[in-house]
Amino acid sequence: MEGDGGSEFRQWCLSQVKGAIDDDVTEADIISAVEFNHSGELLATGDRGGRIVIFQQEQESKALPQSRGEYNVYSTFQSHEPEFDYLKSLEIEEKINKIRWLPQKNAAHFLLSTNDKTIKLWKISERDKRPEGYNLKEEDGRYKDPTSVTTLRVPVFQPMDLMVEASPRRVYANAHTYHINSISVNSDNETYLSADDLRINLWHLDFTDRSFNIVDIKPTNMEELTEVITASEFHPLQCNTFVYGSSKGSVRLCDMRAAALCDRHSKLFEEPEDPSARSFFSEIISSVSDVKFSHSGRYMMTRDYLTVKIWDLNMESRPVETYQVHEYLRSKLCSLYENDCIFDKFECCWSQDDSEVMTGSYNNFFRMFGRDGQPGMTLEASWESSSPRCPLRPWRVCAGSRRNDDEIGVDCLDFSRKILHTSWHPQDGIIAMATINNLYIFQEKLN
Amino acid sequence: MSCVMGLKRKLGREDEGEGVQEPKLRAVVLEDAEEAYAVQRQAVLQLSLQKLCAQVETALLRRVLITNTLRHVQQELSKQGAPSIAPAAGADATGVDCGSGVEVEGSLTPAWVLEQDGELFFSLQSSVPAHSSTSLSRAYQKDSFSTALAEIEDLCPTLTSLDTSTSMSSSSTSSSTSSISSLSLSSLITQLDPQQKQTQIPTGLNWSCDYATSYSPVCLPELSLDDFLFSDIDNFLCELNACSQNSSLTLPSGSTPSKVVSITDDFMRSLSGQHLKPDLNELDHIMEVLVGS
Repeated sequence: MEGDGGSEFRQWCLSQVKGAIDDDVTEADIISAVEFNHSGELLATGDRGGRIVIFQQEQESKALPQSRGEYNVYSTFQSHEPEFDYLKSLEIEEKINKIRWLPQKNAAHFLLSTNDKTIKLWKISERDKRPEGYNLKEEDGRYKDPTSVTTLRVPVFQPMDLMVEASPRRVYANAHTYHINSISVNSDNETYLSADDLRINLWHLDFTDRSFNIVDIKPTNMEELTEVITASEFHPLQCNTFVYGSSKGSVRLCDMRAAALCDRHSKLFEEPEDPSARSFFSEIISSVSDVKFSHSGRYMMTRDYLTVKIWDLNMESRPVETYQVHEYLRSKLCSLYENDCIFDKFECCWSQDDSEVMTGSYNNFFRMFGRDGQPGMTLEASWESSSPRCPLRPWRVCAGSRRNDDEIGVDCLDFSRKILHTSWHPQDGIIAMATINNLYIFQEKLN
Repeated sequence: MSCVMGLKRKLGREDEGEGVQEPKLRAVVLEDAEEAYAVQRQAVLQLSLQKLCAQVETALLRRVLITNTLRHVQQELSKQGAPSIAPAAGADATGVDCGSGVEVEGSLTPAWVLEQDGELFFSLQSSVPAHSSTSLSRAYQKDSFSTALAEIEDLCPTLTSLDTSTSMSSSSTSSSTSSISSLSLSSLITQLDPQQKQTQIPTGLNWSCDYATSYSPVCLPELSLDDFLFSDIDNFLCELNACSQNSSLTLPSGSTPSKVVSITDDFMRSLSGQHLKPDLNELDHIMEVLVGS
């Protein structure tokens, strides 16, 4: 769409696919978290085996000024191990639920990763020099005989092959009874929150032996439990503000200045239910699976099963924009309830300039919405039907079971292939998303 | 899965309502839509129970959502149950609306039983006080619950300790059908006496509502056993505790998902109710004899 000024929609090209290209997927390799860091130079993925793989973007080559650098493996490490809770006889999965990067303060990179119960702070640092010329040690590490030393010298740093080391700097454990679903670093860069189904805790990055409980929705009688926390995030600019979404489709904004325990919300974002669309599954599909502030801090996006909603923080009564992700699934909710797909938690993300939003769907489709009220674009993450530098062709989903080059019937959709985890480069037109065991990186086609 | 509105209507309905053509058509269309709705509601109910039973370690979010869905269906069924206590004029002549016979406590009624109730309701409406018809359909709910329980038992082998003295532990749907007929007969006889308390019905089934409304996904131990009135429930509850805590579970985890799928398929087949037509007529005949219409 050249010459369109703002351009009706961007064109995307497949840049890279990471991971094994075969149908035989081991459970441990399934990607469960995807996150760019604050500069976009690093891209971290977490999987169900508790591992984290970090990719680094190449410096842009002079030969191809039009394309941005490729992402190559930078570091791989085991973040979490499976544990066993002896008291409850329950296994604690090592699956990485969320990864969040800290803003970079020095040469090293820091990220927080969490499984169901424990959050860890990892330091990723480079080592490309090593000291040589010790007085008491040989080069291979053996100790010299002290009597053989006749002169002294000062050890010097010599270059070596680049080594990337990941070391756990903090382990924040034993603060959550229920499963952690979100972590979010505060804009003050000193604190972060972790949210489980019923509680949200505030941590200081330096202290692992204490955290403050700031939200607690556990009822005294668990039999009265009807609502749980599903997602939570700090405001990108105001260090006192955070939001959390619930399983009933509401989002609460809390101000930590108001009280130590933020059980009373400052704002409640809830759209009144449309009585004509009421079904048995209304509550399930209204459950908020992800909540993300815009970069500007003025808007907030929520994802529920069928829609993406954009909220103005100044208006609680209803969203300012609503986008249908896959409305054709509304008539299939019973089947999706039966095969548990209705419980899938999709993430969503903002573009670098907040002009577009993106979220995943089934059949390895993902949806791009231009925030202009248009119905949006459906693209497919498929290495078979995409070639680099060739713009992706949009798909349409129709009723029945037709299948053409650019149209597919609802009955042909593969519900085992879904894109739950997505991330948008903070400064550029690059998006990363995870299919079951592959990482796809798309770049915006520059005109 | 036939959860879509607009099911084909069954052949047996053509002999109802020999009145004017147009109202019959309207009534028939209404029947289809309501029947489809009731079928879907029943499917949701069964699925929800199966999921709660089968998913032992699952996320709290999922359990809360399933429990809320179950509660919603229960509330809807109980709301429909209220009008039937009032004079029968309140109910219109649609087969499915005799899900109105469903009462708060025993609302696990597969669609084929609702259909059954419809037939019976028509024959009873003129001659039997509303109370008895309610009791009648109540009896059928209890019996139909045994079918549901049988299916769930297939799903959860550990949950087989329910008291068998009431002959409800039959594991196959087909055999339970005949046992339902005979059981319903005896319950019916007891129920026609308005002074009989409902508790006389084998009430191992009262837990259905209590179970659904008081089910605490995370802390089953916190459930008060005072909620349940009968000691033969306690064994069941203990097994349920074991189920949720996963401490002494003997279910092979790998086999559970496939069981859920096969049970659902079986269940959907049973919803078609076609193999139950002879029983329907038989019961109809029995009812006429008993009620003396």
